[in-house]
Amino acid sequence: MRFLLSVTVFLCLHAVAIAEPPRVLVLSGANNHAWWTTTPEIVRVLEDGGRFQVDVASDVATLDAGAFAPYDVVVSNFNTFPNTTAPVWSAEVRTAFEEHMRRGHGLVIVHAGSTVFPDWPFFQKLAGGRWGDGTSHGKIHDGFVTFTNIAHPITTGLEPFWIRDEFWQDSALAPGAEVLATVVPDPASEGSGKPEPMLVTTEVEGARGVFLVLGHQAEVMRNPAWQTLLQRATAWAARGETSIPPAARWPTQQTDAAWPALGGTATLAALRHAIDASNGQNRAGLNVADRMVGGFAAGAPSARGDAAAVLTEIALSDAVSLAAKEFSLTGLRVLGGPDQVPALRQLGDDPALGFWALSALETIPGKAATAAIGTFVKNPALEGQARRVLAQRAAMAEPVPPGGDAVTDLVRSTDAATRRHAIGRLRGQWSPKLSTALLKALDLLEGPTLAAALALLAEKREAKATAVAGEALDLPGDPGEAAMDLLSRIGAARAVSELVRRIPSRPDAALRALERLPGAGVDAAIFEAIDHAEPAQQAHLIRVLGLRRATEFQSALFSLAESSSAPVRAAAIEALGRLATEEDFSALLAATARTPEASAALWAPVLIASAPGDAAVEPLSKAFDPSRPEQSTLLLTVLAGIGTERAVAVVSERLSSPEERLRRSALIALGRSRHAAALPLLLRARKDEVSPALQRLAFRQALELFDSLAWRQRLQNWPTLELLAREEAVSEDRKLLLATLAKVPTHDSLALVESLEAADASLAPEADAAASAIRKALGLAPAGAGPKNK
Amino acid sequence: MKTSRRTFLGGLAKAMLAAAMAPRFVDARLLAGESAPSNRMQTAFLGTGGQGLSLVRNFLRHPACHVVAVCDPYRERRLNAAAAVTEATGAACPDFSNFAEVLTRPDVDAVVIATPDHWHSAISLAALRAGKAVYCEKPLAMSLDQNRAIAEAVERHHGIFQYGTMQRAQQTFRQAAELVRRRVIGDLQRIEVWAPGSATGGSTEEIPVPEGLDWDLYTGPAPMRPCTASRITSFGSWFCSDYALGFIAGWGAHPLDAVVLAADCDLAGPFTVSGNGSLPTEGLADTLTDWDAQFTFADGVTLRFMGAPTAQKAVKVRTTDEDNGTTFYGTKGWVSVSRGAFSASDPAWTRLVLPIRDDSTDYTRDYYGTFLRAARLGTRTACTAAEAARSDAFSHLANLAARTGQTLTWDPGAYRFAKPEGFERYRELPTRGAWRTT
Repeated sequence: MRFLLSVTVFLCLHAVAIAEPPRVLVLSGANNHAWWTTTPEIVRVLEDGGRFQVDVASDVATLDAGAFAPYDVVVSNFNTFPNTTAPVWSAEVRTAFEEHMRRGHGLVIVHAGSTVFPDWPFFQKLAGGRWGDGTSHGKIHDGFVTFTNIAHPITTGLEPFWIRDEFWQDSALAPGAEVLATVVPDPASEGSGKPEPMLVTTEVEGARGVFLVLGHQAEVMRNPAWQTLLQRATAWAARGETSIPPAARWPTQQTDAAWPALGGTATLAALRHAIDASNGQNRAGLNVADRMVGGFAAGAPSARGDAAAVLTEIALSDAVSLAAKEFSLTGLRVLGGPDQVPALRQLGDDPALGFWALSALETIPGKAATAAIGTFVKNPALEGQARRVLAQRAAMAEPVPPGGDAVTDLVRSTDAATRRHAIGRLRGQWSPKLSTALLKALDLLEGPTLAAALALLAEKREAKATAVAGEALDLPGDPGEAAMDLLSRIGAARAVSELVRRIPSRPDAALRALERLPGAGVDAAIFEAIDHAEPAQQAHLIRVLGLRRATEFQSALFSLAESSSAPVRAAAIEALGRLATEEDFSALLAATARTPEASAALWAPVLIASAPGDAAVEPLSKAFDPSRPEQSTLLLTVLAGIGTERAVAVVSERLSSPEERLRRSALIALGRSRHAAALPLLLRARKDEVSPALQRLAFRQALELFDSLAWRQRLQNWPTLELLAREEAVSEDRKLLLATLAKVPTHDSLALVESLEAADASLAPEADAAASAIRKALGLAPAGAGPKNK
Repeated sequence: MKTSRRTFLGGLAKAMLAAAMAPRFVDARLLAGESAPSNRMQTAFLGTGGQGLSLVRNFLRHPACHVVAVCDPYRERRLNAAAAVTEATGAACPDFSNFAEVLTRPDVDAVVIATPDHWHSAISLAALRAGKAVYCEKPLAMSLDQNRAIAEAVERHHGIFQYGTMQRAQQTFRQAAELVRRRVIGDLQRIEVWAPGSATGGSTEEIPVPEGLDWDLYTGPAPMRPCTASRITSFGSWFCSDYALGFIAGWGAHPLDAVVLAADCDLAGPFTVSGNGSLPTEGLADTLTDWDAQFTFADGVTLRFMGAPTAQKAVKVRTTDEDNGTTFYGTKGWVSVSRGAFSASDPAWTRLVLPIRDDSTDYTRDYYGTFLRAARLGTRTACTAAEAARSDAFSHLANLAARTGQTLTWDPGAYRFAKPEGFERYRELPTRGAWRTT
């Protein structure tokens, strides 16, 4: 009796197990392929005819060790490519997966779902193959799939078929994998021309695996033969057997391979899936759905309507998260139409969604929507928004406030707001007539109002205003400033004499105006003015010519450089420094050498040094004058500042000079060069130098130079600090080294700081400060707060 | 290297020549009565968080500015600002929670708006309607329609509006623009622009609304949400899509402003935009962390606007390894400019002294003063609402192209999407409450 009962129970259980469709877990939510369109296709194919019960994991990383237990088979449409080292699952989850598989369950890989978990031998072996180092594919084309083993449950009774797909070539197959079907990719489409595996099975320690290489994108999955292969592969992986019949319209002709147009239903399913996928989890699915809404907005109006219906259904559903509903309503702002009005009106009563429903209604045209918005006025939380929207819908264009004659308004204006308003109207309505009226009215204006009028005339480039501006130049405050501004913008050559006259009273503004004055003949007018100007003004005007790059006066400036007036000489040399061309550098430096003034001697090299490339290096290196030692320091500093290899080399030649003063200058110059190539020169100088003071100087200059480098260069040149740390140095210098190390927060620096501290206890305060700065920058716990993280 | 050298030479020149040169002159305007009471603009500060407070401090140093009110719905923040004013002037400064109260005061000539971005449009429009001169921080506003509303209100009310893109006051940006406008680099062919992307993370855990914060007013036109710690700091107001477009606009405003300074390619007619980008999937921040958008303008010029991660790989010619910048490529060479660097295919170009274009205000010496002067005299501001709407439109269009994956055709003249038609509704966002944002 007991036995019979047991048998009955067993038979019943067995019958139930057979009748119950296999349960499938689809891994999705990330893939370097369009998972949001392919996963809905996979789900649709598996659910077709109720053959499988399907669940989708859209956040694979959150699956735990117990996640696999309910399922007979796992279908992977998931990968982390190109991040092939992402662990995704903990060792515990992996072990649970392995054990579950070994209990007679299976894994089906679709296309790129293979390219994941490279560091997990069990998975790799069961998966049957993956995209390997040598794998490639040609263009998408029509291929003919033939079976190499028709005795397998998956392939039994199937005829060869045509399919349009991306065919992988030289896939990396796992040892022991059996190839059931192949395609010979066409060389005309960059195919390999040899049989390539397209369907592979494995059996590993009681687990079954299938690698369906076909299935690059959703369109491929519309091929009936592909659908049969996926269904049979999944059934076999789940139970080790399958009796699924081949699809009806089998693609036996090449024309059958062509992709059917994806109907609206497929994309709508994808939209629904993307929104569902993010239910309470994360926004990945919503981000994808957001793109899809954009796609529908760009598409045909009918598709827009279908999508709006799906969104409405989701917004009304009780089974989705608040975030999904809210998202759907934002989507309806873009896609909604009159059909959605009743639903949106209904959702208006939902305190969490009312705002989004009203916002969606706002964008829908028509009386029905307006009436629906009217109902929101009764909702205190949304009344303000509803009234605003209604007002905006009702509003005609806001009438422009009536105004009289803008010029009269300006004349009468006493406060800033009226003045601004009048000027704004003049600007907006500007015409020759208004311009004339304003010019006439200038006499009536004063103070800020006159200034405002002049500023507007300058903006409108009214040349007739220059005469008035000339008169207004001496007015105090705003009008004088506005007049200066007007002249400097549109005064052209006519304004030069007026501006020159103002140099004594308003030197800064007048010179600045002369410097920027546009127009033909301005340079010549300024040059002419030099003749008539007071000696004190002459220098200013000459400088202005330099700043304006008035190259046509170069030879004249060379003669001014020999002038008997010291300020004129200095100014001429400064101006030449700005506008001399490369071939004149030597002549200019020679002229400089004849000039007794220190300022002129300084200017020329500094300005010349800004010439591009190495152009200034030769003339400057020849300009060393033994009788003017103070200039040597300047020349070296300027040369180092040029910063090219050649310039640095010229400076470093001085490191072997017998004169200690020159060697010192060269060290200082190299320290300021901001050129990484000078670092080894300074290190060598420290070794070669005989004077202990200069040895120290080289050490400090190396640090100064290091500090001045860009971050990336500092990292590249970090070994320099290590070399300096090994040098014998006084503790003062070591402290400077520690300060520099603190500014390069790397683990290497930290180690070096600690070793310096260990070697010399007197450095402890500085070393501790440096170490804590580095730790802070690296985000490490302060020393002593926990284990050292190296 | 080039920059260091220039800086170096500049520094050297300054240090060594200061004594030898004729004395530098005092700014004439300081002598011209700008600080006379009648000429001081009575200015109110709306939004006094980090950036707002620093603007209060900067404006306080300006002789033509008289701070008459500070306003923030977070009491602690407005009291901090009021204290800064009192410290500088010795006088008490009235503080307000609601900007609407400030705008009704007749003694306020000008307002400085440094609220989170979602408030920019509503407050700017209200201030312009009230006849106040407006200084508004970048980025301009939350949507293309809001941008247009601001530019139109400036025109309709003959208003004064200055955009807070301080960076254009750096001489190097003017210089780069001149090199492009004067065709020193030849005919402009393409532009590369890049800026840091949004951060990820941010707390989503609800907290009690802090004492002294009017959460409803703070939220304003944005969707009402539970208060979280990150929503009430700059993290939320920079990276959360309820309050901002993300750094694609917040930081993008700067290098894109350089484009507006240098070129008018976007005004040449309808242009196309396509792109892609990356969005965070968790945390409060939900704006683009990286993007790559391609603009093709009607005059044939192209612009590639990228997040820093993409630029790190894609941008070959860069001023330095900075995470922001603008490079203009012409038929004769290129010029590249960023916050900290300036370079060109011919280094000599960077040292050309180019007189500033004569049709604009020279704001490089005094960005805030240019605004105060405009508020007083009706002169042009340093960056107008129309210019602001142009540069901000690049951010909005790139964001939209990246988020929807569609190729868009934008018609700047008609201010609409020529293609796809269904995109018209993307021009505005949902906004809460009675405040008008468009």
